[in-house]
Amino acid sequence: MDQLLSFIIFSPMIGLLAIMFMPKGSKEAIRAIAAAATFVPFLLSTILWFQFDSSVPGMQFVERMPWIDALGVEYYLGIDGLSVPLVWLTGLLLFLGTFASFGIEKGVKGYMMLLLLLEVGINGVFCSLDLFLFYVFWEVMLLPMYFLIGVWGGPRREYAAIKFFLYTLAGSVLMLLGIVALYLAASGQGVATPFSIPVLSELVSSGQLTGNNLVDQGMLLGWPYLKWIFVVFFIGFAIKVPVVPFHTWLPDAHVEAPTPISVILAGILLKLGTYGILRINLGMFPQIASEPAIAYTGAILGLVAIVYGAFVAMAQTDFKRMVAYSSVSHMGYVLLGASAFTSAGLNGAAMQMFTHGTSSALLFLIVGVAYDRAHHREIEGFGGLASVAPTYTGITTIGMFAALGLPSMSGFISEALVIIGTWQVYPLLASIAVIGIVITAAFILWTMQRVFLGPLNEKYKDFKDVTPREIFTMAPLAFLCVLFGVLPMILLDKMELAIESLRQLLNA
Amino acid sequence: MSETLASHLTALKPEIWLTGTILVMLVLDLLVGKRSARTVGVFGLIGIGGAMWALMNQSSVPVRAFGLISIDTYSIFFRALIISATGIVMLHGMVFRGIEDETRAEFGPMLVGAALGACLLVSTDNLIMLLVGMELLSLCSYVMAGWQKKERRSAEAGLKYLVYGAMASGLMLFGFSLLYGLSGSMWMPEIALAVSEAWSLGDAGQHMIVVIASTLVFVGFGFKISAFPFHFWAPDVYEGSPTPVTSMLAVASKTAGFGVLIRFVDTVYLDLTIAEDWLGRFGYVIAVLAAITMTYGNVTAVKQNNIKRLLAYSSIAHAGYLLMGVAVMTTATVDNRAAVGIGMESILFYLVSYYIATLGAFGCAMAFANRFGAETLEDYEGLGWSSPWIGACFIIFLTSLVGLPPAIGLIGKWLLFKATLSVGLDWLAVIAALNAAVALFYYFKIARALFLRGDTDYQEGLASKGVIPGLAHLSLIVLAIFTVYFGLMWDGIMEWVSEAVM
Repeated sequence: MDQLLSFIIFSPMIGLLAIMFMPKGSKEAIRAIAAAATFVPFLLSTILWFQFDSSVPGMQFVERMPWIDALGVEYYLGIDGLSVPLVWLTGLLLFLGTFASFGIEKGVKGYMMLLLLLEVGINGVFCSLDLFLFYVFWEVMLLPMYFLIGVWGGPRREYAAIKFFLYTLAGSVLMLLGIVALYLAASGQGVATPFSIPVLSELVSSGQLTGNNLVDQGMLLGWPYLKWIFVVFFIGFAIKVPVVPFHTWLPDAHVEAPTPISVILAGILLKLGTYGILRINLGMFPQIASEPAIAYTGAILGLVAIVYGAFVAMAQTDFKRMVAYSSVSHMGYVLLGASAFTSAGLNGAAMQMFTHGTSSALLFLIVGVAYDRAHHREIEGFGGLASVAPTYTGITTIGMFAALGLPSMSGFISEALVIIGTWQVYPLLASIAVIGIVITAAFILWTMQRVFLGPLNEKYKDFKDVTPREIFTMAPLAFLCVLFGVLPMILLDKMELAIESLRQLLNA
Repeated sequence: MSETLASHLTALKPEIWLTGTILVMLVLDLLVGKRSARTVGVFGLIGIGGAMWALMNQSSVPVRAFGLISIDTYSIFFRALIISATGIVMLHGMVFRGIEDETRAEFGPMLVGAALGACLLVSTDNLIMLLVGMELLSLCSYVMAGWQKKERRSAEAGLKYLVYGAMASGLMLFGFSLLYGLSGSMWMPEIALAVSEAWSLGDAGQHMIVVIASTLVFVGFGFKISAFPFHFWAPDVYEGSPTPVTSMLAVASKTAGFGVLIRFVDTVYLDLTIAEDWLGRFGYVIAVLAAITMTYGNVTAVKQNNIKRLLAYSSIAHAGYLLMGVAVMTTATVDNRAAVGIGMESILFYLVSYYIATLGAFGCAMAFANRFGAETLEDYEGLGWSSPWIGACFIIFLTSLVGLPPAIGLIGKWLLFKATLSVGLDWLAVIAALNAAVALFYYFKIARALFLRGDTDYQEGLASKGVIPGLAHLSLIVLAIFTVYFGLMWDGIMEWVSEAVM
């Protein structure tokens, strides 16, 4: 299949169109179509995973054809070791997310259509090798997300939805200006395809793209244009990650979003930010990214996210808010590892993206289970659930331990790699990051203790254990948390060459 | 001689169609009597279709008809936008409940009259003809704005528009007379020659005349495009007028205003290299006006509660975006003349994107007003669930107005940003980009009201059955499809736009 990526991206559209013409009342049929429509890309991305040849460097499954001739925009898709795991994770989480959404009764039709549209956008971003296409997919995600949080969310959903939307948009319009400036610099030098990410990477990293053809010889307020472009891209992605000064939308969005949407938000949408940093900021501007001051700033921002996120998570009384802040902390490892430019650091960062995708998604499903039954999320309001819901407790234990980075769990491998990789360059920062791990362990264990251990809270003596549907959504993620903790090479092998070429680029 | 006459008349075929439509509609109204509204409207649509067909078959070879009207690809582009917009407004006007059935038949000829004026306005480089076109457009618009004469708001809108409009026309006419005094001609290329001569003399008095005349002329155009600080009429008039009129003012009238403004700037100031320092300052003033206009429009729109008023302020903001392109044209230096073309292209493209999305947005507002009598954000709560198709279309138009993909609005913004950055107006591009975030906030208040608030239950409204209402709804869906389709496949529009600029 030469067009495998196109099929993965656009197959949900078929389901979307089918649902559009379904009568509003037939909820069961709509759910079935949605499940089928997310199963197809999942299946295809599994095929992709196995067909992806990790011994070949560079992009695979490339599809390339002109789209808008006037500007040299292309329909240019391709994946490498960095994006394959994320595409697969997208397929998996959207499929599980659809099942987790079966409990939603309000506006099923609209909900499922938006979910499918969201999947198109996410996969599109991971597969795009053309900046314009990348931007289009990037923004296509915003609209469904706004409605999914805003319509199906909790009490403060309106506020959370518009806040998410505004933050992301503010970042991405600046990014758009960056793309325009990059386009002007490239097309002014006669590049035929001025949006192609590989072409631009090649030009920028070999120093051929100078921006000298721009006004003022490519200088703006004392900085070269390219550096500004780097900065606006970074801000655009940092808001999505979110890196600490831009993170305030995340807890609100998570707390208000319905469970499946939180799962997708934490599991994949956050990774789009770090993916962008790795692919665009590091991959396209290696010289700028590896300037000591900039690299150090990145590392500090990552560290701040780790420690601050962990401390704030510990202070939360709301279960979901706690998980949300733990995401901020965990995503900090990605930035820290990526700023070290060592093999271990970059591998750790890329792997952390995947492992956090599984563990945080699992944690949000776990919170969802508790909320569905108790209709509140106060950590203090539970207690002793282990005695009434043993299966639930078991799965939770796996998810929690994966999140705190217990050895033999996937989180351990990626966090250890990040710490090792950072140690080689910034020993001080690495040792502070270890504190973050300790705090994470503290608040996770403390939460475990308050919710599941101790005497049973009498209110919940009828607390039902997880249903088969819930097990179906949670078990695969729990399995992955263990699998990649024991056999991380399955993942690391896929990513090896892509990471290695990135490392060489950065250390050139 | 007769051959020239024939060729001149051929060039004016669309205008002749429009004039004929007006006459037929007036006569029909008399013949078929009171219950003629639908029939008259259908004939109006046929006439507009004929004008459109004549326009599409027009050759791209420039013709100067009667020495007053220049028919070229540029005028074809603008007339296509104006005439097709009029057709859609006409269709919507036929189902709009705010217009009483007794007066509906007379509404048609007024609308087509305004379209005729707008067509003449964008096709001339003679100041007299320009004035005639502008007055024809304005007079018809004044009447239409006050159409619901029993409604205080509408009557007020009509009067307000008239007073402001007369003032602006007067000032513009004074500017024209100064230009005539300078050049002894009403023809833009000759004025250009005189202006450039007056400037090169270096005499302070002559400079003053050029500056004053340009400023006065700009008042007239600024009024039509509702640019800051000549925008004061817009919110009240947009809110008070019947919605089809509002959409005509926001789309056709504004398009015509930009059509004539660009032609004037291009012919009078840019054809010859006038002293660059002056032009640079002129460009700077326009850039500042653009920034103020878009920021003012967007920031003020945030507080609005009435949908039409909100869209009115947003349309002021879009005028600011479009002025960015004019700023690019005038800032372009001698060694970067290509930027003039880039600036023009970006304006024309943005006009297309604005045209589709704004017509659609007002159409949706009208649909909700017809069915539920909804006018404010509170009225809108939960209506999206009762009317999901129109609601979804509304969201698509809003997406385009914000400038998010996959809608055509993104491409319009993209081209404007590209043009602005290419002449070094970085600060303007940054302001425009940040404005998009503000715009998102208030545009999505509509989305919020439609889908996020209120009950999701089905609400019974006044259903409109029949072919014509069906067509009106269909037109919205088609516009929504265009918004997305041209957002992804905009090669064709780009080609059309660059042809028009040449």
